[in-house]
Amino acid sequence: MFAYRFLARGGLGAVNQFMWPLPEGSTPGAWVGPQADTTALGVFAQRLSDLPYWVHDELYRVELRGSVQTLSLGILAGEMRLVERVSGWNESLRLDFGESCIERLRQCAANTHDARGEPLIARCLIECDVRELPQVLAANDMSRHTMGGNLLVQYIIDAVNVLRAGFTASVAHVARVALSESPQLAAKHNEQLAQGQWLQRRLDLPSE
Amino acid sequence: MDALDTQKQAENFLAALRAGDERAFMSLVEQYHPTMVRVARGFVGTEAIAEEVVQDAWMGVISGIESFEGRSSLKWWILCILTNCAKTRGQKERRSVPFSSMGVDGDDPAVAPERFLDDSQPRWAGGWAVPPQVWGEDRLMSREMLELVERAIQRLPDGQREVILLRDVEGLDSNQVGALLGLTEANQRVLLHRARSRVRAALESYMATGERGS
Amino acid sequence: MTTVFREYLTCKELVELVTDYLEDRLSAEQRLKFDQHLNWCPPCRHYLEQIQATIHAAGRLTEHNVPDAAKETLLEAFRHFKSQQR
Repeated sequence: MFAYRFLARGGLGAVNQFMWPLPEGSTPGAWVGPQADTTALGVFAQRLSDLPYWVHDELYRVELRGSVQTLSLGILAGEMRLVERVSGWNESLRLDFGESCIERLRQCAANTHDARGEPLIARCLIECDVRELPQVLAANDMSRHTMGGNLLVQYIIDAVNVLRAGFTASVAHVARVALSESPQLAAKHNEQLAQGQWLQRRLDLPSE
Repeated sequence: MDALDTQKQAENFLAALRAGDERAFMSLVEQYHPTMVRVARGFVGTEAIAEEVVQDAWMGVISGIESFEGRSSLKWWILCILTNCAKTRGQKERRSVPFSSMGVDGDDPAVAPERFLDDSQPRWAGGWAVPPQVWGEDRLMSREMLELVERAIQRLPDGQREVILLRDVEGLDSNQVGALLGLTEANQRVLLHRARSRVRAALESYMATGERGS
Repeated sequence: MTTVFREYLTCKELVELVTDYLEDRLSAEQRLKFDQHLNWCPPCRHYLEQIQATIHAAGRLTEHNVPDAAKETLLEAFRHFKSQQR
């Protein structure tokens, strides 16, 4: 059975810095067991739909062996090995992914303001440079209008700040939280799904 | 080192002790005495009483070495003798409630609640209000840090102190500590959790500013 | 304030699970949620590292010396016991 696994730079475990045996050419890396994730439970992997939750420096296609358990945010296997690096996933694409999360947030926010008959704010949210959004909102006193009951713009500012700090995984999290906490928005737009679809499309990954 | 070599070394050492080899005995004392005092200190009220308890424990070791079968390690056997002496003395000295139940009940959050955004916050309730700072490498290596850790451990409530001493300072595993202290796995983990949380908190201000706490 | 159902752990919840995490006592689902939280939350990564540094420091506490008086008493006791045995 095959799946994916995000790892830190150099093929290291994100938390425990475990040194994963890397694939060489067409030869997969060696099989690893529960020591890889420092838990007797097994080794963790990600399905396509789980990828947005685990974004990190490097992405690998992996093979699983032994008992396999499907969980809400991933899968658990007895043993695993890295088959090949997904070369399309690099620093540049990772930054694009982060910006795409913010783009969807802005579009949702703009749609909301359009629907409310606030086209100026909607246009501002869409048109200005995303990195300048917090200043633009403050300068035009837009924050005063939008702050009221509109958490979404606050989340957008959170996302921009976190993007600037370079934490892509955090941007994705902010986007998921921002769009799921509002029932109206969540009904119209599934951010987890959108993130997964973006990754699949840009990395040209097969459907599951 | 080869496992068989270690085994042989241990057997030779035990034989020497039984034969009355004073150097072997004194090396045993040098190796374990400070640990024993530290552990005993968790059970009794003062350093002086802890030293007495340890002396009693050594008497038990000396008289028991002949019949020690070597099925467990010497360290484990010595610690068993010690904790028995310490518990007995501790009960005599002051405790009506077994210490092991102390510090388990009650609310004792790992981090002060005000460090987090409360539920009234519209965004990120439960998230850090005052996040932890990165600890500098130089501070992590410093002697001051070790001294702070030692003092913070000494200031812990009894149950927490004993568990962190045996687990993190002495390196015993959870089964061993549970057996020595008569604690369930769950209780031991609660005590360990609180102990580590408190010691970390005590370190926090030093690591951020370089100033020692009180 | 309406209660929001959160599928993710909050930081406040995570810090209470750190010991269970290090002792490998979390269920598979809890473990995934814990790891996932660390993925997006740098402050909690720092917190975990701090707990680990605390544990590591505890393990490095150096032995104190054995007081000479204690050594003498014990040596005497050892000799005495051995002589009684012969």
